[in-house]
Amino acid sequence: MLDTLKEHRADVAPSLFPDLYITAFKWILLARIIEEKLGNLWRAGKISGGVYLGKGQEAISSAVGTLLKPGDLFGPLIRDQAGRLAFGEPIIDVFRTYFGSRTGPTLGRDGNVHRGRPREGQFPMISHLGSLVSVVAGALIARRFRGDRTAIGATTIGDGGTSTGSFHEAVNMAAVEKLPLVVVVANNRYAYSTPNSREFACNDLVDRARGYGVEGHSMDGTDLAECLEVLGNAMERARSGRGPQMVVGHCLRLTGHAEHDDAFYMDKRLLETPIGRDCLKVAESYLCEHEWADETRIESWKKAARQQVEESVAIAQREPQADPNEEVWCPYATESVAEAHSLR
Amino acid sequence: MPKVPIIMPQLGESIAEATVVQLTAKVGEHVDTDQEVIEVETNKAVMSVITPCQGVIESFSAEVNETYPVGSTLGYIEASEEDAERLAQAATVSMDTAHADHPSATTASHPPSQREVPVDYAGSSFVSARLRARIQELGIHPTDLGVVAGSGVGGRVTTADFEAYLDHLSRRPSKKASPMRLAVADSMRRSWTRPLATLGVSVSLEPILAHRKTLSPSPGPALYVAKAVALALAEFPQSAGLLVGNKIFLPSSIDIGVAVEVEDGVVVPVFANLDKQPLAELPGQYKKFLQAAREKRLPEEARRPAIASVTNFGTLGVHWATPIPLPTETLIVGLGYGEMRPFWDEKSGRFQPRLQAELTLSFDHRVIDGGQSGRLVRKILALLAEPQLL
Amino acid sequence: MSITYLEAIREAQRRALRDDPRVYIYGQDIATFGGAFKATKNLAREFPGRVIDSPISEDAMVGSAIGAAIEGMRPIIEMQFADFSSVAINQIVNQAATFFWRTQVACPITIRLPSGGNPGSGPFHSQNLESLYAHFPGLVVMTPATVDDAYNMLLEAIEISDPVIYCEHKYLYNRLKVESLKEAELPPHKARVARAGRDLTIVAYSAMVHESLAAAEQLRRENIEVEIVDLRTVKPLDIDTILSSVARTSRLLCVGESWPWGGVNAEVVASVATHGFHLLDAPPQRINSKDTPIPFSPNLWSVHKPSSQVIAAAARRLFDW
Repeated sequence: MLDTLKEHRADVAPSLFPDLYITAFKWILLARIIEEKLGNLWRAGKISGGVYLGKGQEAISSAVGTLLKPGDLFGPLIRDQAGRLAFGEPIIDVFRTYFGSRTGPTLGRDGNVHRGRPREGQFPMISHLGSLVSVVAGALIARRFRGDRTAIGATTIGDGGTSTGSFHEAVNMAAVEKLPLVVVVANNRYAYSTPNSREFACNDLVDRARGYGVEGHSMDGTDLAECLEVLGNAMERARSGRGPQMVVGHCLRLTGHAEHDDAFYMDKRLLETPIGRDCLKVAESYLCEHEWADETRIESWKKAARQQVEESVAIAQREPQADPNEEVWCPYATESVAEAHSLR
Repeated sequence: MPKVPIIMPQLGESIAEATVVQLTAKVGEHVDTDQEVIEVETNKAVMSVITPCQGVIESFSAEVNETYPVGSTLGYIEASEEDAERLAQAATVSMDTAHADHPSATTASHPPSQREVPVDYAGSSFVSARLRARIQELGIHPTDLGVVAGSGVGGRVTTADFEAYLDHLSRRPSKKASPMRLAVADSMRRSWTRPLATLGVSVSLEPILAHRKTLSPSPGPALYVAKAVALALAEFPQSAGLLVGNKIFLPSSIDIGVAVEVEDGVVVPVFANLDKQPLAELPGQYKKFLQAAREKRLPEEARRPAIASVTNFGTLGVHWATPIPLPTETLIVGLGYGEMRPFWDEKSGRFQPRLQAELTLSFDHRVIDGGQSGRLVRKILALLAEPQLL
Repeated sequence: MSITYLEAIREAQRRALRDDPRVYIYGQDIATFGGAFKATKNLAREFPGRVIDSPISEDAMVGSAIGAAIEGMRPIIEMQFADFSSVAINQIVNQAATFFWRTQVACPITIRLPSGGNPGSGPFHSQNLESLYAHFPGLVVMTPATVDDAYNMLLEAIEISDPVIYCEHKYLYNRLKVESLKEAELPPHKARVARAGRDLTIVAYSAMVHESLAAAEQLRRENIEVEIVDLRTVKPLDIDTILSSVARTSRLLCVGESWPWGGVNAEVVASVATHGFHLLDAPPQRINSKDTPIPFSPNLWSVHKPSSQVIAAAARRLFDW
């Protein structure tokens, strides 16, 4: 299958590389280090609830976040630490949210990956997969109303998420409205414990694009260069008014569904196939091959990233947790409604 | 042979149970139909339980002096198959007819307008949450609602009735009741929850008046009566018992109160163990109590609950009254105004003048009846006729 | 020139579209066709591009409204029938209702639910779902009963920064009419005393306010004066007005068209029992539709929901105490 993927690759302006590649690589690196830290914190009992990592699909995610421009919209999902960082999420948001801090973007009211910065165009997800796609589509409708014809919106989803009715309704609707929406499907072969064979019956998820009336693209999700090329192309097509784009990235989930999942059900043989490659290692080799960086330089980037992470964790750990006595137990934004609510 | 139960019958309207007095037949004895086999006592009378059919007494489960509810099984008769079947059928037939008479009993639906008011809430004793809150707000006791005419279901006082009553009252001048008045009111209200009866006798005051000249300081007539009551109750302590539930609590000591009028009310200082106190010492103690009572400084031992008390309304010129004992007291003795009255002297065959007063005894009729109270009062009279015994 | 309840809704939308460029309407068959009940008749022509036909995708309709609202628009979603909103329940209760609480960014969407039955509309075109949505934190649920409220409260709903579930009653669409619209006298979350009374408080909303008024007329002839409180908005609930009324009358009967288990009536009864027990002369009562799906046959349907006779009978029973 990977051989046929290369047929879909279009040419991305080579002048964008190496800077673009290096930028995107560094996000992958930072994401990986953040997530290793999260895993450790979870195992040390410092985090309540689940920890969801994106090991194996950082290249896809980083490429999306890196390629989006200021003013664009982004709806990231569970395994998008790299993309979130690339789109502007501060590292400390991650730890504040996981720790349930009063100072975090959710004020301790929601946790782990249910975070975003809506005023900056990065939308928080809810647990119901597929339901974020129409939100990004609606945001694009708003932009259209406001005369903004240049912004695009991107959202990521997994192979499992594409089975939902929400996904179906959203992509169909975005296609009818011809919105500049880029839907990036990371097919990492497993939705929790469910393999592709139990998730969908079509040959390849990109086949669905035709059914929706949108343009479809495929890419090797382990290859950052290919991700940047394919996604760059798709985004351009969206931006130029060709309607929604569906991009399917092929990779393998290199971690459990969450840190509490040991993933015993995964077919270990997949690790030996091309999609089983660790995109971080692939990118490191690529950098060295092209002589855009050497091991020393990469090591210094790792060190810098680790330091940033340690600093953020230290700050976040000193900050106050959500306090039930200080919490305003009211879900309303409108003052008069909040007052009426409090009278009960 | 089949067994037929001997059932406690319905012995009268509103009789729920009866106590077994005697088993008038023996196990193994042959009995006829309608033969009396168990004697039971209700609060009205002693009655008999009869056999439902002929046969042989197989067993008695009832025991003498134990109480059983109507409808319970008291024993069994070994009877013929025929009789057993007939009686069993009769039981089921009556169940069916009960249902036939009230078909709606098996279904839950009553036509809405005929729904019965629940038993708990029948009559004027039901006070709604709103009414309760209102009367509590005004410091009124629910039993005081009895004076308000109720226009609600079952004669209950509705909130509207109550508010109309208050509105009516508000047109009359009022002043705040003193704490003494409220205390007396509360005490009398609590006492009045019992059925109180009163009897009266005439007593000659002459033996007392003669005797008191021999003592200095001399005790007043009320103290003579109090000592007499104390000695009488020492002899008949069950007359001063307190009924709580199904027990009568006897007095642990003969503590008698003597009522004293104070500003806006009455105080009843108590003489502890009065049966053992010499009459001569009473006036001094009484004077102290009187002073203290008027100053509202009664000592601790005088404020203990009394088993009975004495009140002398004769000093007010009243001949006769029905005094009300305090809630802790079973009875109260009242002494009226002494005056010269003609008295038939058998010896001289003429009416002779004699200084006489009426003595009234009000008592808790749940604890003592006319007979006991009469005996008690006779004892008091006997003692008052010979004051040297006091 | 008179105006019906439905026309009031249309006029409110017209005014919103005219005065506020952030407003647009999204729903099925609302553009050329003007909506299944003509609530948006001619609006698409008058405001090109602002009244948009959607596919049959309630989930995406609400999801896209959420996205648009985050980005500053004031979308109105017309559900063709309240009954179909359950397809979008996840977006409504999990995404829209929680958005502000989780992010401190408001989600000002308005979802119009044509609610209630007509003879023959059957189980899936007759539902009243205010109780369902009121249960979830973060939503405002409105249930206008009059033509004036249909107009004024819809405009308020659009103004409110929280997601509003606007339950308009289909039975009232063309049957309620006024000569001219009045200005709003009360803020949307305050209940209104629709009829002053002395002996009994009926708390009702939407179409049941009118059934209760009819019952009150029957009872007036029996010298029972009923006070009727029109909730107007069921979430948040105006418990103060309800308690003041019960303080005056001492008896409470709640009437609602939704199903009995839980819901608006249960909430009012529980609130009054908790905060106003000392005001009551009788236990609080409630009347709902029967605890079955809504029947199709008009004979069954007319008995399934509360009628003025049933309301009056229940009211009379409150005097058995």
